[in-house]
Amino acid sequence: MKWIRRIFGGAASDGASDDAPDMISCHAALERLYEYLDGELEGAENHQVAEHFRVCQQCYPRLAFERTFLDAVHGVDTGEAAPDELRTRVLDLLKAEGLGGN
Amino acid sequence: MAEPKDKPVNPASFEDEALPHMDAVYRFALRLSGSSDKAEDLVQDTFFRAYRAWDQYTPGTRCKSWLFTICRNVFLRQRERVQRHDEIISENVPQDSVRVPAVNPLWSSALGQDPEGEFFKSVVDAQILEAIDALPDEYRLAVILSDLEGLSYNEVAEMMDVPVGTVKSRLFRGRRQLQKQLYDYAVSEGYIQERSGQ
Repeated sequence: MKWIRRIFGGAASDGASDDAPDMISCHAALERLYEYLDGELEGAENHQVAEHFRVCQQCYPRLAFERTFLDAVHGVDTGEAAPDELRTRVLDLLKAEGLGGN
Repeated sequence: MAEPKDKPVNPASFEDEALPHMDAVYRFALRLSGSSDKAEDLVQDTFFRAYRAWDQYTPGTRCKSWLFTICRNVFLRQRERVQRHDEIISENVPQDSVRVPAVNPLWSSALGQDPEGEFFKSVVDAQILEAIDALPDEYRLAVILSDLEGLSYNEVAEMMDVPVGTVKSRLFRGRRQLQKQLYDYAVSEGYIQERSGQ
């Protein structure tokens, strides 16, 4: 099993592992890394990418790196709510335009 | 009391569908404009225009995206009034699907001491927001919409009026720049050492 040797023996991340019939190459997986993490892949493609990262010890740290990064950004608490004064001003403006009018 | 003007005919209630997104629109406007005063004007204008155009909103679609689109258009229109040139469109980003380089140079820099990017967890929220604010306009917009507001690639593409491939490209480049800034910050704060130290 050539691809097993390649994966566990040090897969190159230059797309050289594309000779395994059931396994997409490192390059193909890394190209879709963000799409995979963003939940944009579906069906077989999603499965293929997930499987690659599950098995390939060369690529997994790259996935983990990007995931940690995205988790940090997604978790940002902007703490920025519209000020009450603005809310009141907008509502007054819309009421003058007929909002809530009978 | 002012006489009600032509009321939008839409079975969906503006109060129920649109107004709950005021905080999100404010955050978006703040990131776009970079100032609370401008953001407040943007929000006011956005909701005014949204209310006027409420009959064009399709119930069941994502109202937040619709409001963001209006907000962005208002922002661009205001900016165009000030600047003759449209700086935003003039960039050389490929329109096709992005070909992501297999190697992230930043990951290579962190290799050996923090390959899984644990240092990102040390960066405070304010620093992340500051780094996002410093991104070039279109990258910033893609990152805000996707990463802070959780919109899908299709929704971002529709909002920005660009192909999905362009969204991927801008998101990719924006995230790379953001990573670099956060990495530099982590180095300056001593959370991680530069590669030369290995």
